[in-house]
Amino acid sequence: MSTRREAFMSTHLTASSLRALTAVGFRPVGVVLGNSTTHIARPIGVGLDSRLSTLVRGFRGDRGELVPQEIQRMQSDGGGATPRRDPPYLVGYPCPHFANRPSVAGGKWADHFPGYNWELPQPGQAFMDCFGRALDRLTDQAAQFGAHGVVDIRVDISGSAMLQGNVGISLSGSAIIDPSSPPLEKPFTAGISCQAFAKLLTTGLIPVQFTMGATLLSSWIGCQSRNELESGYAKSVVQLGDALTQARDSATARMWQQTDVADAPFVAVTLHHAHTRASKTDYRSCAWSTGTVVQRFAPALAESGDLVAAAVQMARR
Amino acid sequence: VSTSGAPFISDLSASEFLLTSAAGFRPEGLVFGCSVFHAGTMPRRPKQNAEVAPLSQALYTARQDAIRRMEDEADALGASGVVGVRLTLHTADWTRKSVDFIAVGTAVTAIDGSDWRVHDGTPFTSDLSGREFWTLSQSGYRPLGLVMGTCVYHVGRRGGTTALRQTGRNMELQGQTEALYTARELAMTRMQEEGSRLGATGVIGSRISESSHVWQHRLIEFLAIGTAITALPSPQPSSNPRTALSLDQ
Repeated sequence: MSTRREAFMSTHLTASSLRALTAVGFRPVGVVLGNSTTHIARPIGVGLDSRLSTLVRGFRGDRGELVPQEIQRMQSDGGGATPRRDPPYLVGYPCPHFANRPSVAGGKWADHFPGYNWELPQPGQAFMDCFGRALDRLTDQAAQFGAHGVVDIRVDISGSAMLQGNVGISLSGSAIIDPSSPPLEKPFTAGISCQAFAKLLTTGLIPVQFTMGATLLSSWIGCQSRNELESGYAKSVVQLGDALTQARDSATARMWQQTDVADAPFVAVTLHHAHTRASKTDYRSCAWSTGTVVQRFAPALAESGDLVAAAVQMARR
Repeated sequence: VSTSGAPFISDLSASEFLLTSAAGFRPEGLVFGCSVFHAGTMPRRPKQNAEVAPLSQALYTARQDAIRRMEDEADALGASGVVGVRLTLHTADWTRKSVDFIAVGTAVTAIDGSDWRVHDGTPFTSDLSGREFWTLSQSGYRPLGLVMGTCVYHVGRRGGTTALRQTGRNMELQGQTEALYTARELAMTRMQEEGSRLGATGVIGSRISESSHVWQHRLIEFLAIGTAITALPSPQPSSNPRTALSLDQ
């Protein structure tokens, strides 16, 4: 889709960053862009009153996937005794009075019911796919320019942070090149600044891959959490706190799983989260994180003394 | 003290002032220009992805007018150029659907009397800070001018049938993705073309921003802006920067 002249250098690097980049042997070739707008469907069951859903239909997973066995097991355990912590995440918060079942008594809802934190895998995956497509387009454009890498990638997310409706992810970064080396088939990507890139290179590290992980959790508020939320006292809402912690942990783990390089460290990890209330008894927690995988030069390359050539060699591998 | 002998006014910080002086420039005064733009309505089809060319041109002209008026003020001061230009946009409260563009910067003159104006005799403009300006001159480059490209694009909505077909599905919206991509590329291309007209070798510090201003959200302006640079005819040799790992962060 690019219409720009490749020979004309344009970069969002500042003069200082440009100086740092040229000092380590690279030069910018242009700003590269990648974006994707994705429609993310509303998860079935989300937004309903958790008491109604639990009573009428039983607990449902994402997109109608029934998970009655786990719920039954949790209820027989008193709720939440053996939570499922592997993806998709599911944990119960039992009624402290051991009632654990909503019911209609005297024409009104009985107020004893368990709460659940459960993951909605598809919106999170769609969000990561959206990021992946944008990153692929950015990398393709950099490859067209003959670049060896893209640094200082900036992420701009528009649309619903709760991953419902249309979400747009726009990426922009500076494509860089070592004029003396042949181009790479797939340039490396990095979310770190240009000055940080120069520092990494001089300390024997090279960025390999920019990745993202995202998780969306739905919290069906149990009677215990409802009491905490509606209490006149300052109280910790354990269920929502757990949801946020789990969403952040899971997003970071997903980001780590996206990398092609085993056991490689991450730098410049950013972690974002958001909360919203979909209904009186349904809260949602979303977290997403980005980071840059780095690798140390192979010893033989590091001893060669030519940092740029070593970096390009490592990226080629 | 400026060339005229009067005390100068500048929005440079103390360190920026010292570095601008170290780069061989003296502040002449604070200069600004403004332009008020009325955003009219344009007929368009609701589902169409297309650029609204008259609006693109109008927004470009409004910003250019603000910059040109700032250059005129710098010219009146006898300055070689303007550094630290900030181009801001405000929505005016006193009239509906109008925005005003304001360009503010510090006019500077070369202490050694050398000519730093661009080929048509106007002072150079740059949004680089005093520190960035010093770094650039130490790297063997000089700024030529603030260059920009605008593109106002109408992103069409999905049809009812399409929206119905996509209900419950996680999928990429091809039309909207392409519209945003095209608009950004057009803005970038125009910025580069303006740089080429100035005879620049490149543009640094470029930024792409998007805003709907006073319109509805499907009408978006993409603005690409940066400083066009070129190599100095006889750059002074300078040492390479040293890597420093700060323990503050």
